Amino acid sequence: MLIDRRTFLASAGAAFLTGLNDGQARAMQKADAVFASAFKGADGSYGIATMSENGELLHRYSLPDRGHDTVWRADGAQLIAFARRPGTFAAVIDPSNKAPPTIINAAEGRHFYGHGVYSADGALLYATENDFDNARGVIGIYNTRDSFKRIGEFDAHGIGPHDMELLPDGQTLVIANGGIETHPDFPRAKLNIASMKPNLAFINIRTGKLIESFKLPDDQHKLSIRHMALMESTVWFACQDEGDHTAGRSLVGQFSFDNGAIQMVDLPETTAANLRGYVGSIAANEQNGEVAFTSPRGGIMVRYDTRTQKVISTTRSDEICGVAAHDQQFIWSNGEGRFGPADHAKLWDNHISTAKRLSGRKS
Amino acid sequence: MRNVFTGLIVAVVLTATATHGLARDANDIVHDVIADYIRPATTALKTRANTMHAAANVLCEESDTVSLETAREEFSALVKDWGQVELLRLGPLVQENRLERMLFWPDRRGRGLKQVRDVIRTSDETALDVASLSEKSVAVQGLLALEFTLFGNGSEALASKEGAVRCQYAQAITGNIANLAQEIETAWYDDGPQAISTLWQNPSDTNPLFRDGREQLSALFKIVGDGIEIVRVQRIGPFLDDSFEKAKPKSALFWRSDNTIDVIASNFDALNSIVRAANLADALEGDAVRTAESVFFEFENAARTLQAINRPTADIAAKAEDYAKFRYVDIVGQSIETIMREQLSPAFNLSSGFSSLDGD
Repeated sequence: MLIDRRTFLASAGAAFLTGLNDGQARAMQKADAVFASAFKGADGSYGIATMSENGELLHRYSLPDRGHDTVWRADGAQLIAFARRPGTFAAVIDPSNKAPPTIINAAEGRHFYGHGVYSADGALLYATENDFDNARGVIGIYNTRDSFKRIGEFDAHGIGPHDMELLPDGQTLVIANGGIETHPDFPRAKLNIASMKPNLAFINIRTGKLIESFKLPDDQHKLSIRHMALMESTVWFACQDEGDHTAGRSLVGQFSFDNGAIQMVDLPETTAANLRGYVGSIAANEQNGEVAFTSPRGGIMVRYDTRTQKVISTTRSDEICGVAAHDQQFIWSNGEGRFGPADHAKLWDNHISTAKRLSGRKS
Repeated sequence: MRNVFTGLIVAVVLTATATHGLARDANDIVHDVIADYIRPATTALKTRANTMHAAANVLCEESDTVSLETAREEFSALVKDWGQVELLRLGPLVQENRLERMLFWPDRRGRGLKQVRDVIRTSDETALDVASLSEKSVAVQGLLALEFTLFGNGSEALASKEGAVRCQYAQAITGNIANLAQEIETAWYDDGPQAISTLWQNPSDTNPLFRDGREQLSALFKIVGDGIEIVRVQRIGPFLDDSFEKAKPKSALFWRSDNTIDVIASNFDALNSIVRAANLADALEGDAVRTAESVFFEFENAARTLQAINRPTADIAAKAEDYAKFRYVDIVGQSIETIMREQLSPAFNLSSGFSSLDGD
């Protein structure tokens, strides 16, 4: 049974603010950072690289196939890489050394969607997965202290869960249910575009119970919600448009705990059109109140000031996609080798994740 | 960094760093693809959809075996003409659910087919009229639904008055398909400022789809690259499965009417015709010209092999040599994809598309 909507907004929102006011998030972003991203090498192999803020390669780890997002344990001592959908592996990496990753295989009848989160204490890992025979999104739960044994799953309360975040209360998961049904028998074919219903679902991390879910208005049902970034009392989210791109619709939206409303951000017409129907990544910067989002199809990164609600700048770069907050700026990568200020003989995948500086040696 | 990869893949002589300055520029290429291929293909589809509708009308009037046979033949011609248009995944096909309304596929869980059966079983009146049918689920208003009415279990009833309701349903579907085909043709012939043909041929900073020549050509390469991938991964792959022993002929599109091979052949032919209309070789110099021309050799390989596969498709589960031929077509398709995406695309200085696939 759902809890009262007002109670949810008050409790989760308060925890959200508390979590951010303790200064940890800001301190994290001020510290020397280490980043991680999936890549394809010049020899066609796939892997995960840890990178410095100067774009230097720290370590590289081989993967059996193409990876997607990476997630760091809060202490920065462990890193998980998820296979790109519809992949069936996740890789556990110890970023302090060069040991090959430990591979976790998806359960029978499931595949990974490419994203996941740790519980606040790092004991459990949650992954967005597809129960493809039943056209149902699920959240797989893994015990990180017992060889990543899969100990259960929750309903994602939507089809096609993609990105997922843990709210600062440590108790609530927010899931971007993209709404698109897929099945590995027909890789990457979208089976329900005409009737898709994306949503943002908030669930209790212990019970999996749905707390509340929010959907876009019916005339925006083809905006598949896929990626998120948290800042202050807002969940920022980014979409891909499964409808007509000629309309140049905004692909970035926000859910605010202040008013419990979900809405798309008003972007200048040209900016919205230049996203070309697809935002690949989004990041929030606590230090300057900015959100940055990228469109590899449009070859642009847009910086948006959440306080003035204005676009600050647009950066052009072919295949730009990975983006992460760093100090007062954003560090970005592209599918043609650029990572921060440096070029590499690698095609960087869609996302960059961030952790504190580790003591590991450079490769 | 792009050159790091292209250099490894093929020794293509880059004659220009952008598409301008070539003997044939992006505007010429796109213009010719629209004028010489897309517009005529949409006209052919519309014309065929109208004759299909007329054949359904006659079938419902006559209710005999001759008119049933004629309607079935028209269907086979219609899906081949559809195969010429269905991979144009920009403009009218991706607007207003037209693609799904024309063809709800893959129907992996048989949901669409169940709805079609329910319409027939319950004589659902809302499915017997074009206007109300077009408001129903996309699964019951297109080619797959029509195939079941004409070829599925119980379709022989169409040759007598016993099949009157089923026939009315087929009539409504064909009317709906004719309307959709008309809309698709009209949209491609539209020269208004926001029409797809105008936008594709007039890139600018304010154009919502195409900023420059690279985006114009990227859309063209995407049609061909994605088109081959759709045919291979969604059409051929599922029924070939991993091995001859595991082949699943009933996972093939249009197996009931035995049009599987012809529609795949039509898809390859469509992509071949698009690349020919584009005349990419004239926009390149040196080794890249030979690369551009090599794709036609592969298209011919695919066409010849598909022609040699015995019908019906259902027999691939029993004939290893036919299964092997399908495997070969799949490999040829892979080769075409590689030429387009990894060799010709860099020759036109187009981006790799590594991060641009949606859904990630």
